[in-house]
Amino acid sequence: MKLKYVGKRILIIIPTFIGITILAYFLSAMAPGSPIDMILGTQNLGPDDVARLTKLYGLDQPVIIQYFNWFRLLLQGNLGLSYRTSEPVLSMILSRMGPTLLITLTSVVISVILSIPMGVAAAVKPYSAWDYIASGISFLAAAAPNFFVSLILVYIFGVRLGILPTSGMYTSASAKEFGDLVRHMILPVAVLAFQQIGNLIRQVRGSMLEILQEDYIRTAREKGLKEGRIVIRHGLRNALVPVVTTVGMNLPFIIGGAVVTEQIFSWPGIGSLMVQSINARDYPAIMGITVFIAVVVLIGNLIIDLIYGILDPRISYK
Amino acid sequence: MRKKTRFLAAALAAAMVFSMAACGGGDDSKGTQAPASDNKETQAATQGGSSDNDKSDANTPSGGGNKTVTIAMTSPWASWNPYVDSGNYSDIIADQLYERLWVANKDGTVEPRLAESYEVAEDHTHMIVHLDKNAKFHDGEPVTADDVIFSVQLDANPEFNSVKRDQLQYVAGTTTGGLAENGVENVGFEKIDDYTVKITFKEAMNELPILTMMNRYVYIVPEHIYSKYSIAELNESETWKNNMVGCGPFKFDTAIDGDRVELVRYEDYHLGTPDIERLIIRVVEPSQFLSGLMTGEIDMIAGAGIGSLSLADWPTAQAEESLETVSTTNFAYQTMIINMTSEKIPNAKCRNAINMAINRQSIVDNLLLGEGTVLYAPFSDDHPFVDTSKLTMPEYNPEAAKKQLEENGFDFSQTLELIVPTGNEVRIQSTVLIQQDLEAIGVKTNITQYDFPTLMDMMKKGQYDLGMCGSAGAIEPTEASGWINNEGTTNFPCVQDDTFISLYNKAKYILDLDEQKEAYVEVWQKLLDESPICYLYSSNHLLAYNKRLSNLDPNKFPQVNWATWEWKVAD
Repeated sequence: MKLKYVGKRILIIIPTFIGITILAYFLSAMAPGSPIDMILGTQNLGPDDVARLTKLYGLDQPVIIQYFNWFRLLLQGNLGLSYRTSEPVLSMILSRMGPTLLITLTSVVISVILSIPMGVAAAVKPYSAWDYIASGISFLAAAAPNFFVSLILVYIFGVRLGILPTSGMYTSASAKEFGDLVRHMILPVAVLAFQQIGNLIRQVRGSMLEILQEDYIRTAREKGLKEGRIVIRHGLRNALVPVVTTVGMNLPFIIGGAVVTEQIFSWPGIGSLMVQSINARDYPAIMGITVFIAVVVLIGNLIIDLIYGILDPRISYK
Repeated sequence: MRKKTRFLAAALAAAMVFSMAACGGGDDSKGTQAPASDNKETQAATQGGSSDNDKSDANTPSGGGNKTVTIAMTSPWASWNPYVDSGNYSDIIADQLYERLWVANKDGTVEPRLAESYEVAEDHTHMIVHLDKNAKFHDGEPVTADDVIFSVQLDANPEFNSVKRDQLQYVAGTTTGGLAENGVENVGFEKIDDYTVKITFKEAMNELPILTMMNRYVYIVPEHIYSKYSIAELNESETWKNNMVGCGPFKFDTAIDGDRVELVRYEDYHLGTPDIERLIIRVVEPSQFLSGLMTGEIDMIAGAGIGSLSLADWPTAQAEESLETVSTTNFAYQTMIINMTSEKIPNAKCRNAINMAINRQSIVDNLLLGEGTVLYAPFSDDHPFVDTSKLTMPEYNPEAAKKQLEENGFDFSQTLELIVPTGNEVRIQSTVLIQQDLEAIGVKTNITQYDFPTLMDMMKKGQYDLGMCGSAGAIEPTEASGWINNEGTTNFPCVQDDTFISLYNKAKYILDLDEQKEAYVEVWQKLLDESPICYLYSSNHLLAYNKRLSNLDPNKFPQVNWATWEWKVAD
């Protein structure tokens, strides 16, 4: 049954993916502003050069032909050359994907690790001091803008205490020491984790409160099972379903990067590449990043749907 | 009969350039300068009176220890191909790795790089350039005339993706955009011997545009490396990244895309071994400049239009003991362009009235806190090649502006569309002040913000009435000519005829420099009277650097000339 479900989902994924590429390509092409203008900047090159570049990049063709040319290359595994940098788009994306995943995945793991016990503690003893602390942290994290938290952390740990670097990935790219990387990761990861914790704590608390009222939990208690075992084994497992949903909804963020945080901490990730590409009307790069994010999100969502079944046996696949 | 000019680093003043060329041929002694050894002494004396600048001394960097310097800029470089990016982000890196024949400073002085001296022919149809025989590429190969000619021919090659070639526009065998007209072999660069190159001009002209503009971004690359590749391969950034061999003061070491480039000093650099051992050029968010400087993570803000402290951070930086702060003027300028095809602004008198209604001093005082200059033309009063004292400026006069609009058929009931690009906060705020100035004389405007590509597109299509736009500017007097060239690719005011560009073209080939100055006055007065562009202000670059650095001259930075081999760094 599960294999059939996966097969059906993949069949849906293919037209969805093609639809995304069509939408992204045509919307990009419709945006005012020519990539040639951005390549030339305010340089006074002659019309000959403009015509040559327009032809070279196929921009003299109708948009639909441009799209098919691009899609044909995509099927060959070629995302094309960036207009802005003259580099293969695939290698640009791969070089930026690593740094992005490093901070986003780490922040997801940390936020899950921190928010689950806090949410569970708040739900097990509602309206207790734990609950108020967890809820307070949750509201604060959800309400505080990323850039504000970033600047506060930079001021405290960078400027005042001088114990953490405030930008970049390494002190020296030639050395690339692991410890140095970790030190540079601390502030951006802290900001990203803090951002996610707010939502996750509320999800876990709400979900746990609901689960703890279920009949099978009451039965477990009446059977004399220890409270810890009930909460963790029977409650938490089912309560994780909405948590997984939340993490799943964060997939575009995980792959697409956290633009603001990357900018503030000068982290060379995919988010900043996306912004630069859009500003330069670099269509191959914009499409490449879109394709990459679309594929990962579509496949990621499928995996998350499969995880639901593992967490909650009542969920069946049709 | 020729005059010979040996560069005096940073000492060949504009007046000298003018007077030498103005005196023309017929006097061999006029242009002959000091021998090479004297040259270096002059350089040292001119740049601070210290013998530290002397090559022999620079070969022995002071002290040991930590000689790493980290410089911050706001955005990453676009490509490893030094010809393909129109922004200074790539150029500042190329400036360390590669070499130009010479560089012009903002005061009109010209400094040698690869060219040791030059001679201009008596009939002003060509010049002879002598290369520094000590110059070597990072792989040890000498830099020769073949490399210069290869580089220029590559730049002019129609198949090569260069955005810098318009600077070859004065060279014989090129189009007005700098493309090779009849094959690259016919571009006017010719080898005389291994270290001598003849540059033939399109027609007789003084050397001013050649000195100030043409070689600003013409990087000399090794023929023995790059001639192995096809033009298609050279159009790919990877080819350059995998063969990073230049002859500049630093060698490529490593890089992280979008984050940093790390360079190590080139011991055999022909102008002297840099004191800095490792130079890191990093991308840092501007809001983090000050904290980076205070924590010591960065040593300097890049300047050169690619990094400047914000006005909000400026007082703190000035108060910080570990930092040296410098506010430098530069050629960059901001404008409000008027769409000449807009029916709402029917004639030159109306455009001129709008120009007069803008209180530029208020912008400089209130938004730039005095760290800027009021402009009426794309150059400041101290521009070395334009005599602004002879120009009648459209100075702020709201009463006269209103009267002029009333007398020239302006319809006060309409609303003008004023567009402004996102990003530059001071420019956005200045747009609001301009809106208030215009409101004060009864002109209604509607401000809309767009991202820069959209704004450029709208301007080129004439879909606006008033539009804010800035330029990095340049010392070359024809720098802004592209914007008012009816056949140009950056004709933002939608100029319909060749009124302005024909005056420019007439001026730029005048041999006598005094006569040429007069001709430029005529061009600019016409522009001021017709006001297709309202030049507004120039913001100073607000630089800060750690006091462990010394002997650097931020006044050179606007020309993408850090001159890093001259810097000294304390351990």
